[in-house]
Amino acid sequence: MGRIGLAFRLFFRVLFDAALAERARPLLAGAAAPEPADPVVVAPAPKPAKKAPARNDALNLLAMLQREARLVDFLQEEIAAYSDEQIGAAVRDVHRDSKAALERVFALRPIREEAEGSTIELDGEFDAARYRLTGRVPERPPFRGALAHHGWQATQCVLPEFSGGENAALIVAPAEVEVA
Amino acid sequence: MTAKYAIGIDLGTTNSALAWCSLEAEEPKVELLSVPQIVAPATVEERTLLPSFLYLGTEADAKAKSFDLPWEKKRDFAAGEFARRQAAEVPTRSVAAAKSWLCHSRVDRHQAILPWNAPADVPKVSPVQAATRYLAHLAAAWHAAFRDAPLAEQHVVLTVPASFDPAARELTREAALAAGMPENLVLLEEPQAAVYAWLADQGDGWRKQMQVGDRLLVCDVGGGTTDFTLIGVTQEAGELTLTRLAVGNHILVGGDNMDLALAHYVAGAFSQKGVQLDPWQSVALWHSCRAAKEALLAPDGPKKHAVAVLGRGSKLIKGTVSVEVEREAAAQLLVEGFLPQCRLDDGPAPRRASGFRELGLPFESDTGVTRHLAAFLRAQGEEGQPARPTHVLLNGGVFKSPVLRERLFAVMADWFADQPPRGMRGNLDLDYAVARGAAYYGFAKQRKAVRIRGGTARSYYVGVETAGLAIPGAPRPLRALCVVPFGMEEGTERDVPGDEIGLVVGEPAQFRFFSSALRKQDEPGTLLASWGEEELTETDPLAATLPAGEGAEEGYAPVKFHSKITELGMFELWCQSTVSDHRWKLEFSVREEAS
Repeated sequence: MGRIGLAFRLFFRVLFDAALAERARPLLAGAAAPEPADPVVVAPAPKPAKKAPARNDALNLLAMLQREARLVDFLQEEIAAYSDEQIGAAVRDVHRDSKAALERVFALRPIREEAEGSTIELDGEFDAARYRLTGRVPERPPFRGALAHHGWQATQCVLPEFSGGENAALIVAPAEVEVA
Repeated sequence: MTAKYAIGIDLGTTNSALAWCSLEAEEPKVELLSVPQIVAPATVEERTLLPSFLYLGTEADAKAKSFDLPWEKKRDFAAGEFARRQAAEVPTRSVAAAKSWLCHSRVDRHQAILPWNAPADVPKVSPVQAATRYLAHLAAAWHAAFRDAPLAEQHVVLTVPASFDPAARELTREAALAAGMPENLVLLEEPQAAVYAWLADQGDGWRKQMQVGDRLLVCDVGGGTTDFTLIGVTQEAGELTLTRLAVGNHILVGGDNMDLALAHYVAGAFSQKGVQLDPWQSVALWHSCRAAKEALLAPDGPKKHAVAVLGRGSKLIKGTVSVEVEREAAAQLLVEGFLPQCRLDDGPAPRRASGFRELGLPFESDTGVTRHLAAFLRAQGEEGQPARPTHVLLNGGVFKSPVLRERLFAVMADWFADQPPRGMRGNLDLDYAVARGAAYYGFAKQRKAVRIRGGTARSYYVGVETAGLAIPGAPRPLRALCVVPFGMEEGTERDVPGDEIGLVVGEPAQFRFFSSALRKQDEPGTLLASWGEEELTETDPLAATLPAGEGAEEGYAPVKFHSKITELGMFELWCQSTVSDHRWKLEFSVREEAS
């Protein structure tokens, strides 16, 4: 944004927003704007710096889903030849274990707790990254509409850490040999 | 050094956990430690449970750095989740149930005997070493997270089964010290830890739930063991006080047996369909059965639940086989098999050599937990009447199933129809209650908050041979001399009255050692000439070698016994010379007797 644009926006916001005006006042006095107080977090001691792992995190996740739920086996298999019943028998286990693994890594939660189909309203402060608007969308908020999908958000992102070398970096699942 | 944290460690048969709380906080807020562990070669993940399994790797594993942890490189073994997965597929390199071996007095627990029955070219560890490795892993995880608070300077509480005998407690302590735990480590009985977890949840509210004269039964069914403890409510100076009244025998039956029983049953159903499962599929089946058990035993569970075993190779769908397990059959198997309806005068079938024998551990042949419970309540009764619990606290993941919970209460309601025992209300975290309760206990101990009084759960005896004329061909009759009475409190000492005993100098003196959960009236000095087979349990002998020249006259030293229960709850037996100030401590001789 150009400085002229910024100046105009600030002018109008200071004019109409008393709280923002108070925060802006010290700027003119030459002091830094006060930082909003951080919530006090008792963090465990920092971990030692690690060198970047040899394996990409995406591959790490894929290897985990294969290890715990055999998701790669399932997706790589040609399923056209099997009956729904046969697929169903396999999919229950893959589903159960994939779900458990995803829960551990991402702890997925809906963005909106309301039942899908219920009417919700988004005011001017809504975070556009959390919503996708469809249908007849007017120019400005507030937006009123039915919740078609409650959305998903990860509440954490805890991936396994890979410490192996370059030779293992592309291995999703090792070949298995049963020693007689 | 000042401790900043109270730390509770649950060293379980199948899972271990560490909980902690700050000692500086006003109110104890107990948290669980995330434990980084190997989940696959060269892959570390944090979990709050550390499965108590050990995988002893090959040279190739160490070279490939497969088991590196943030705190240690080039390891040749792994503890935790990966080891648990390996246990069924590579049994000859996997150690499981090390804790059950710790209290198995028929083997030398310092000898590298695990994996049991493994071929000679596989590295082996002793039960004590295995326990040390699990504890050292937890300790390292602690240090990784709390660099400024060395474990050896914190208040650490480690839990043991209430039924652990003094030798097993000694070995547990030894493993803990080797793993870097502090000298002032406190051992706490698991069922008591569960009660502390409940107390932590209730705050002072517990006084509203109980009154003087109440009897609380703690029924703790862990992964591999079942433990009963009876706690009484008394009043002292106007305050309600909890006193541990009795603990049961060591029963090697637990939740894992249930999963295995169902897996065994389902494997039978597969083989009827002509499907033989390989070891890999058996693990998968066990895993599926655990999930199936929860679904089938849920209050409004489905009538049938499909249990599938996925294809072994990369062709997953093609190789998948499944059978349907009926709710009724599963309930019959698990509920009737483990919590059968029985009468209060029933008892467990006597232990006999069974198919489990080859596993080396003395597994129970009667899995009926309710029958063991009936025997416990009868044994702890007074005046011919069985003990009557008024309240029951359940512990162990098994009791997540409402069907199993309800069955246990139904059986007891049947026994005590006029006043059925009530379940304790509150939020109980069945998987972590023991670790959490232990951390809370560490906190409560510092703050002089409510504590369960108890002392020793058993009376202890040493075997002494009677003097007198030897009869050729007949051993001298053995008598049992009581050295510690039931309920002897921590931090107290007792002289054992009686005749002096001559110990030969320079030769190991060994005494057979017995304990009794039943003979509560015996005082130190009581000499038993005979006893019922059920009354006394023999465990590891006590031994000492008296060095020459220390208060010993003419090759032998006249001594009397002196017993001590330390502040930390450890039992010590001393031989006090009657002619000098010298004294010698007897140690448990956990080595197998040469025979």
